[in-house]
Amino acid sequence: MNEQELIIGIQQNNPLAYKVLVSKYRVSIVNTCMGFVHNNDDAHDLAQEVFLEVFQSAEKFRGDSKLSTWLYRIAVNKSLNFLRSNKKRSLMKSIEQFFKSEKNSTYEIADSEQASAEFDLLNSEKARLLHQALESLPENQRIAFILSKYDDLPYGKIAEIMDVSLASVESLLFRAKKNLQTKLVNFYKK
Amino acid sequence: MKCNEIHNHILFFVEKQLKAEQLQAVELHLQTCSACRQLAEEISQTLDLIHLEKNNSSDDVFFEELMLQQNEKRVQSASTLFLAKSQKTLEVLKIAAVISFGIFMGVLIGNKLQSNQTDFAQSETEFVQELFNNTDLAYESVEEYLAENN
Repeated sequence: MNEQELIIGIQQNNPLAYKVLVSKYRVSIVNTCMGFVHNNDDAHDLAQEVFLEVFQSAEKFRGDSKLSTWLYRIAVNKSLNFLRSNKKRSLMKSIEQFFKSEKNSTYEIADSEQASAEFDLLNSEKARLLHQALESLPENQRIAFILSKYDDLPYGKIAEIMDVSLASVESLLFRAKKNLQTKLVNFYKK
Repeated sequence: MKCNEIHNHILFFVEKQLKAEQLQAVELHLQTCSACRQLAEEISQTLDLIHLEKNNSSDDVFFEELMLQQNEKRVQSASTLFLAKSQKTLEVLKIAAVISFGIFMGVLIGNKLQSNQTDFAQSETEFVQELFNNTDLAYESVEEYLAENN
């Protein structure tokens, strides 16, 4: 099924077209959402919302851009909206997770799996640092970095999704890495 | 290169995005500086977490859940459409009822007013008639009246 057939199939509510679209893009869309929200369940829910929106507004799709570009744009917008509207909830969740992970690690240590517990703790600390560093990036730099790192998309595709030039993507990614470098170096130098 | 200069390139070194000349200089420094080597290792491990976060598993439940949600949304939108249509019909009926009531009341008030006016005109004529009958005017002509007064 080529892209045109896929679009027509979705517009005609063809279940096979739905299935092809989901199996083709599910992993990429979940990863994009994951890059923003860093939580499996939220990323999963957001990805479902992305596909639902595509199914429901397929009729409006004019074909000015590729279907994948449209999907990524919806995923980015939905993730950013989710973050904006859930700032307070995320704060509560992270506090909860912090206490949860402390409990878990204590339990694991008591189970004499000290090495694994230490590894988890170190990784969760590093993950927390990475997420904080990513969240502190300006929005455009963050989008470019997530599309590049979480989806391994080429610069050309990122430019298409963000509707900017190739040179802009290069510059955004360079500045994103510089900013991340400063934050990580400052943290690990302590 | 000094440690501070290394810190300005370390993420790009980890990402293998340095030019050959810079790469060589960083590598040379890392051979002799354990602190920078440790830093490079920490940054590399931190960035590697992105790969751990990525989802590569196949998930059949995802599609089933999605289809369930899609069906729910369809039913929901159909019932919303039905509700919207019924609401519209109800509104039209309401407006029609208000207009009919208005017309009915108008007719009722109009009839009442008209009958009042007829009664009033009738009683007024009767009163004038009575007044006229009870005075000399009924028996005296105008010429007689004028001659008498002169």
